[in-house]
Amino acid sequence: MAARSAALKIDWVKVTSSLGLRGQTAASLQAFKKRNDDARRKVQLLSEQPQTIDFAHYRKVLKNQAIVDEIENQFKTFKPATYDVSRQLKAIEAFEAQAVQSAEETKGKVEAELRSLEKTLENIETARPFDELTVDEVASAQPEIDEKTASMVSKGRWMPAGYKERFGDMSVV
Amino acid sequence: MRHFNFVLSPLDQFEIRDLFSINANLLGNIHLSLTNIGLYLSIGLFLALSYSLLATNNNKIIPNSWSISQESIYATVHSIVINQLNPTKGQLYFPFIYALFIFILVNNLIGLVPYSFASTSHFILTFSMSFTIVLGATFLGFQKHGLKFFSLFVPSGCPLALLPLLVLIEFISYLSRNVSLGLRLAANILSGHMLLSILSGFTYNIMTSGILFFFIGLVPLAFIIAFSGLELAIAFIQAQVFIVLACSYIKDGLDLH
Amino acid sequence: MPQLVPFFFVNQVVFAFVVLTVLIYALSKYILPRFVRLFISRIYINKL
Repeated sequence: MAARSAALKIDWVKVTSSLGLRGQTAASLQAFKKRNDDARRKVQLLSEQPQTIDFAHYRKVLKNQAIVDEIENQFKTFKPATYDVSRQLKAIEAFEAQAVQSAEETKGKVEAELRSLEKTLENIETARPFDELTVDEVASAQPEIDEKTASMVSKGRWMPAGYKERFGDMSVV
Repeated sequence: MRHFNFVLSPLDQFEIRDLFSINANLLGNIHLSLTNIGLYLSIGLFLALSYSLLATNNNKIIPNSWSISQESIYATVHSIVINQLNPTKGQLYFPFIYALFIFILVNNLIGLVPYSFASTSHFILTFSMSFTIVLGATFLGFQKHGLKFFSLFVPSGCPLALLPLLVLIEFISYLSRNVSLGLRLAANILSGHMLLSILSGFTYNIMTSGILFFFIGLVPLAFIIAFSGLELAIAFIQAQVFIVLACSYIKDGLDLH
Repeated sequence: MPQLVPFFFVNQVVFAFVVLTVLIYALSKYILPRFVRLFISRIYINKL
């Protein structure tokens, strides 16, 4: 059986380490391998047992022939359940295509972000007179500061929350 | 020896002189004048505003020493307001208390300059401020609590029999708040300046009496210098006590303790 | 006592209240909001 020999040939440890899988994927891969091994072991055990039933022997021993006939009929019509794996394979292929596509998208986004971050870093490096940074420059870069000031003053709150813990209490009392 | 026809009194430094006046006959004998107290109050206003406007380190984020002193005053007054009044809703009164503090402090400090004029030693000025503040706090209390404002006079946990006497005493002490707030500030500044003036007069007489007395007179002179240091501290402390009590009276109006 | 000369009472009180009013107005409109702006921008820079 081709499937069985192929399964035997897979070196599971190398698969895990070469693909660089970690954590959850490695764990699920392990679980899959265990299921495969268990299933194969069960099949092997069962196949060692006799697969056919000697009906003539039972007919001689038991008096109730009808039940033996019934069981023989059941046995003849019994077929092991076949799994149509083609649908699963199709689902797996679709999933793989989707994964590849989203990986490419993420790659594009990450590259764009990297470029914008590099530009910001360049900005910071060149315009860096931090000692001379004025409140007006900060407010022009972030107009929300002026709005917040106006709203705080109109509501009558004269110290922003969390200022004392961060910068120290400068009061004399 | 009749060199002097007049007696120099230590109270002369507090004399209000008319510097520049308009004696108009319109509106029924109105007398508009720029007195020396008006002049010194205006100088104080100019100093307070220019200090706040110039000591900003060109609006830089990182402060220099002038900015730090400004921020320190801000934080001090803010912490007083927060501790005395409600921490959430009490900050509404912060600009008023800050203005009061700066006004009193600057005028006290101007008075410490030799040959200048101490405006806060005049009772009318401080009484007008304190009466206004306590009356304002009373109005606040009435506006907020209606007639229940009079529960301010009933301290909690007092036996019922003593109630009328206690209410009377509390009422009188409430009325005396007006006077005490203003009187404290004026009396401290007045007494300090008057003591300095009297001691200096005596020390001058001692030191000009001879070479030996010159050296003896260095002892009271040292005391006068030390006392001037104390006067500097009193200038700050009186301003702070004034605003602490003002905040406390406003809180009584708002919360009925 | 020169403090108790009634002639200049009105003058003193008027000057005191005018100065105090101008001070309160200038502070609450221009100077104290400047401090608030400074504090907010400091917090903003450090909270990036």
